[in-house]
Amino acid sequence: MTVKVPLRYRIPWKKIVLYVLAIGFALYLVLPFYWIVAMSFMHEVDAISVPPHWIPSSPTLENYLGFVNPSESQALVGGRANEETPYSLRNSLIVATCTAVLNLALATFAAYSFSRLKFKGSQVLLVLYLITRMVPGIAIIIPFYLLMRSFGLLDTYLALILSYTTFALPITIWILKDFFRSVPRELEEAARVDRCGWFRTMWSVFLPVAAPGLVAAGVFAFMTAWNEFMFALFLTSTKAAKTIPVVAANFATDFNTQFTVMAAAGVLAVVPPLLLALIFQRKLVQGMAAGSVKG
Amino acid sequence: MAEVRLEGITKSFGGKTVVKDLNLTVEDREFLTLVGPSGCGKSTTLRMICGLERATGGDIYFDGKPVSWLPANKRDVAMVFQSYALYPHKTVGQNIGFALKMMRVPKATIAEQVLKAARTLDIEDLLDRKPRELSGGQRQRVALGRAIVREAGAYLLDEPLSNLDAQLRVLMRAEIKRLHVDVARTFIYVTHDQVEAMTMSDRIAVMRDGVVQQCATPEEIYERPANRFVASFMGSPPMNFVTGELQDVDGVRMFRSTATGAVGRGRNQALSQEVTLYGGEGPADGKVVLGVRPEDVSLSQTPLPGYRPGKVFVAEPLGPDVLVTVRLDGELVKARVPTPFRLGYDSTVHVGFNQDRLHLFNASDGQALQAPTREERP
Repeated sequence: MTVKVPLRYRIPWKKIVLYVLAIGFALYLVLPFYWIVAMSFMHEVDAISVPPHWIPSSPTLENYLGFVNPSESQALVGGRANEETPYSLRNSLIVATCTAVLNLALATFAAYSFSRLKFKGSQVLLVLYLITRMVPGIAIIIPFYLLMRSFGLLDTYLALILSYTTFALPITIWILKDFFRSVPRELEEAARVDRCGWFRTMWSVFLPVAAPGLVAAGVFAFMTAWNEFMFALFLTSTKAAKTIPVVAANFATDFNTQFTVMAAAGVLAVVPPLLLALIFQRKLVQGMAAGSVKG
Repeated sequence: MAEVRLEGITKSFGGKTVVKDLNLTVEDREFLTLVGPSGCGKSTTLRMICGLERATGGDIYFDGKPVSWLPANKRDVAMVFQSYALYPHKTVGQNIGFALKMMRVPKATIAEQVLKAARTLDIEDLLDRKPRELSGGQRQRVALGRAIVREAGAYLLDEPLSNLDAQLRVLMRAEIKRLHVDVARTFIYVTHDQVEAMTMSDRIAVMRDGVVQQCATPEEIYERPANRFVASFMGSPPMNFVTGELQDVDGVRMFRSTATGAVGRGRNQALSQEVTLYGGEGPADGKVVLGVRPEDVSLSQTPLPGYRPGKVFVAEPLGPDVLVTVRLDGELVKARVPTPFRLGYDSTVHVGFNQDRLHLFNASDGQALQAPTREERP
């Protein structure tokens, strides 16, 4: 005799599997980050102990303080990586912010033209922009280096900002173009009727409505610049322009790798992009255009 | 205050001409409606008046001054868009006051004007909300508010009611009409809904394929349509048409139906109807189309002189009236008769046309053969 299990008592296998997978994936993403944060507050001894201490037994700020005031042993680490970390953070911030701003300024005009104007070859041009992204960086790094040297821009912010803008611009234009197309044309027309000239229409109506797109594109450009390693390695040589990825790499080249200091540097490197994402989180997900025209 | 005059306006997109040689004068403080089926060029015409679209040919004048070369922000117009086009990042108050801000009106005055407009439209308590928090009807009011807050020469409305549900549409229709009286400005209104056109306008311009078919008062359009298109487009349900020819029988001008099965005498005797032509002789070949509005068709259960037998095809109650479709000589004729109507499907009914309210159109080009004016009518 078979017993029919009433529907509500059945084990929801599908849900259980989904949840397990989701939690597993979340752990996969979060755990390494947690480990870095935890380790940055540990003493070196705790960090390399087996089994690992998931929670620092005696938390310390020593690793962070070392960046400002390195101890004897820390001063030796990876060719002054410790000392250079605060500078590199500043450099990265400046370079990434400038790259984002320059990118947005240029891409806004380009994307607006692509989304609103009909002109011959616009599709070809768009694809061409994307194709420039297909060229691997390593193939053009030497010409870039020579170019920057002849302009006397080696080891300057400008060298990095210009290089990063060339990488990020095509994608920024694509992101914005699609976003701008979703902004109803009638909003601009309404602004014209409300006595706005073109610039005023852009400034007071179009750009605010397109803000989520601008934020997404800006964050993208910022992250591109923030994470970039190879060009920074070639084009910079001192703390005047070295960015955080280059300096972080120096930690690893040390004869006496200090995991906790590296972790602290890693945490510092993550903070600005994280803050950026948190600040703009609302804009990033906001459907601003909802309600403007009949939906 | 503005009189809007269009002279020989033409607009082409690519090779396609959507507005052809349009001549139209909208008087100061008039409510003129451009009506027609979709694609007839009415919205394009409005956009040209607004300055959002540049005419391919012809000139536009506001109060006698040419404005064709002026962009939208330099013309003295306000517009209500079909989609409302409210600024999503601004509050209702900011939306309404935006044009004034652009005109550098002092802040205090803006606040005052915005409140006044909001009071007129009964949206005072919505001023701090964002458009996405509003219902369709409220958005529609905000869009109107954005227009009326300005003292523009002309107010242009592009199908402002088409996104509202039927009930709200009737309400807003009345409100816009009243608004026109209150603000006393020139209104140019675009719609594809002939009921809106009939109910709201001082004058209606009926458009088709980029050409104005007739521009006249609603009464004139309804009672003396210039051609078959206007006759069929204006009026709901539309006018009945019976094709036939004009004949002189014993000195009396007769219309005879040439519809299927309407040849010969006896049971299949053609519909023949005495008609009067006022001025002119009608087309040389005598081929005409007889038009009669449903409310000018009467039905009788018993035979009456001048009535012809038909069969009830379907009856649709409308409340006070019943719309009865009768199969008459192979054509379907609609009659609007008072409730109650109790005859069943396919029962015989006798159909009579109101002799004084018949329309005749040339069968070849659809132009109206001159119909009687109200004064001429017996």
